[in-house]
Amino acid sequence: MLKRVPKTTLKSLMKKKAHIRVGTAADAMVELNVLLFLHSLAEEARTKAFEEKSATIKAHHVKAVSKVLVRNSARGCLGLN
Amino acid sequence: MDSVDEDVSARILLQSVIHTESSRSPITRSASQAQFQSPGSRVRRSIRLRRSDVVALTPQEALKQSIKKKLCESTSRPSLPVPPSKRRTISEGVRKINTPATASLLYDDDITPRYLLRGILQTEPETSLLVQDRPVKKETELPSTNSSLHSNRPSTGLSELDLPDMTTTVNLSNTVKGLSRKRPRRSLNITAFNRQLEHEDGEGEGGSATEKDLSSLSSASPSSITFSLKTPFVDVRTEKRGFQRKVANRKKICIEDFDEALQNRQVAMGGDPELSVREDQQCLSETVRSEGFTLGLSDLTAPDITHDIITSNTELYALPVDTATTFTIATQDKNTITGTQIQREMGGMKDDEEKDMEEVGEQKEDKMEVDNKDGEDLAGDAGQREDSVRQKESKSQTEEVEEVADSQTEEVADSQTEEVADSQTEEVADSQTEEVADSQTEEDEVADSQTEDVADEGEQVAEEGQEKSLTSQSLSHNAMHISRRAYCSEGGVKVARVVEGGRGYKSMGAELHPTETGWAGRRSEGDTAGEWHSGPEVGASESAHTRTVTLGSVPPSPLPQEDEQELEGLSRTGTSLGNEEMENSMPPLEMTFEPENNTPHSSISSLHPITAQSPADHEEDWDDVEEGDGIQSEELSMKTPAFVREKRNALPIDPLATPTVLKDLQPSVLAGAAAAVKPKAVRGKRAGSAKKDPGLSKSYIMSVFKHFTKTKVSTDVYPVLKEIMERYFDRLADDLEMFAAHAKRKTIEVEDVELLMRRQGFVTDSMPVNVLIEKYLPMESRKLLIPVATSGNYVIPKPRRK
Repeated sequence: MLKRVPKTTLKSLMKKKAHIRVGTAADAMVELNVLLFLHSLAEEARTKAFEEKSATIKAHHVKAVSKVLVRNSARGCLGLN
Repeated sequence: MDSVDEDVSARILLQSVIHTESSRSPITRSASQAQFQSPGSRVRRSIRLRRSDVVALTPQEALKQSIKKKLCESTSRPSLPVPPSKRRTISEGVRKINTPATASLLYDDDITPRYLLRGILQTEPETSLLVQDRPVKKETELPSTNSSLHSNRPSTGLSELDLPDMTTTVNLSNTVKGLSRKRPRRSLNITAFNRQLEHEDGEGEGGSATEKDLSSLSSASPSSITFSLKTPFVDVRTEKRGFQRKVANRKKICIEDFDEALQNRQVAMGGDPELSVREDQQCLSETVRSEGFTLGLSDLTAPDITHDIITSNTELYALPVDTATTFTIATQDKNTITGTQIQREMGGMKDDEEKDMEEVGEQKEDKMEVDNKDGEDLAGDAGQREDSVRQKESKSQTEEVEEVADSQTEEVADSQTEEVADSQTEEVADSQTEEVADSQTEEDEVADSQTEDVADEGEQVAEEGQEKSLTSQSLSHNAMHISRRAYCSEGGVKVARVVEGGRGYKSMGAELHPTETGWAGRRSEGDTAGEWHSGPEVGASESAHTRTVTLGSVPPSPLPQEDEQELEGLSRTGTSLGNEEMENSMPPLEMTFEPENNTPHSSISSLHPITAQSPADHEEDWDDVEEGDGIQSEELSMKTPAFVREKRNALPIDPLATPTVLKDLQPSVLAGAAAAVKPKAVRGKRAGSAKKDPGLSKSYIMSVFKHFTKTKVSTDVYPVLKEIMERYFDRLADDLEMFAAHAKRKTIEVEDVELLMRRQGFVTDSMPVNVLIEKYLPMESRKLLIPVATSGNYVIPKPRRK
């Protein structure tokens, strides 16, 4: 919406580890997923920042949130981080 | 002991009841008597309850009903000279009696809440509104908020109770509303309520007041008590608001909105706990909704004026806690979109809207003050920009926009005038609204995001003055538009703003975006020197445009972030030079800039010949876009340092990405730059491969994150964010690979990603993938995923026939 990540970038990201092929529309879906993930991350970070009464989101907010989010995602996903 | 007290209170109550001959249903009296006489008169109570249409009531509802009835009984003794405190204690005692008894009774008899509520409804209207309502309500407030709690909870959670329960709750609220209809003007005043309780003797006002108070109290107290419940309460409150809307129409709405606004403001300023919290809950729930609206370009429907007012107003306040500064900006999206509708309906609702506007205006002014305070934290032009704009001070903007085109100033002035006009009335030209409406929606959202991004980026550059001023021009321009729009509290006002902003956006949109991206790119690329290489290289090598070329020469030298300031100064001088000079000016600029650079960039300069095509192309495209837009664009392009553009161009540094980037750019430019680009692409690839391959650009992550947070984001988060994204992508790739392997496929397909999203919880039964696609993805991506049928029975993309 704001900026578009070139599809090739997404493809390169997905092919980084696995030498697997990526379908046509999967790039867009991955982009959607990325957006959603960032969205949830941003929401959580914002909540956390508000807890500290700061209008600005700082790095430690995001860091603390990421741990929770990664754990949640890992729960849902097969991979672990 | 409690029993003793209960007995005493029961006796007293009974006496009062006997003394007070109120026309109440015998059921109630006998029931109350039975209750009073023997706390354990469960049998009788059950009989009473059974008598009146036994329906399966939940224990809580039964409890509530019984309590209310008891209250009616106890409070039916107006002549009883019991002090309010005593009465309260009595009622409390009664309550205590009732609570355990009723609870046990209910559990034993399994009386449904519907039955209880019905009984209450039957009893309440029968009894004099004055006396009984007050105590009833009082009881309902406090303890029976427990029951109301229970009732609320079930009402909110359909899964917990049957639909009938919902109706009972609705009936209750309706009854309350009906009662409150008598005195809609009554303001929530607990002390007055208590006072009236004391003067309960036939005081219609008191009763009515209590009614009103009850409606608000019941809504308020539950909130306070159910605050812990959070979600259910919020829903109930929303529902009640909906009901109230029907009843009290505008008055209530105005008050509510005002309260919400006040509370939000207070929240922003760290205000009331309870009320603000309540509002927060509502706002949070609404924030989600509004966010959904904001993110997606879906149309916003505004059925009627009141709804518009409510929605628009609430939208205004729905995003409060995020930031006082960005409050106006964030909310303006929906406001602008609904502005047209609201404006059209303005005529009828003008007065109310004006009232709201004034209220909002006041609040906004307060917010502006708050924003000013917040802006100090940012210590950046961005903050100043926002504050100044909100404060209708174009001067600060102009200061920031020193070099900005006159058009920008003009727009500022226009916005100011419009703001003034808006504050007074809502005489925004409907034509303007209609004209700009459509174009506005997308532009606004994009612009908003851009502005916010730009604002955030501007914050980062705060320390680096010049650069900020350079880029802040476009930023401020955007901010002006957006803030102008946001400043208007009502649709009409917003429309005016929107118009203004829209016009500005139309002309500035394209350039702003590239400018922003370029600037953002520069910021993001600051971390990676490698990417810088490609950027400056491209700029230096390209000679398509004089300005770009000259500017491009600048970036190569000052790559490191520390030199950004220098770069800015250099770029600015370069731009000023570039404006007039042509390609020939490149060498002298380079010479000028290089000495100013602290860090040696010989390597970079050596890479000059090896330039990525994308930056050059981007510059070209950007310049073309700018020139196409007009003076403003030209000035912007001139002002914006080349290295910024270089950075932006350098964003998709991936050598693989460059061709795609080229495609994304305007095709007209591509055609011209194709030849020049190719050799550079080759060189860029070589250089690109040397640098790391993180993939996702920092600016992209930054912009998306900022947009989603709707608040200011410090720059510190970006390294963290980048790492998070990398790890996320790794996990993503692994999972997708596993899914594809599970499907015995070697290619990651859409289904795999969809399954992944389902696992992650993004896709649920209630949130299909297509909705998400519509919500988040840009058109290009969307077209890939959702088949679009065009004329001639031609579907894009071609549906796969498996």
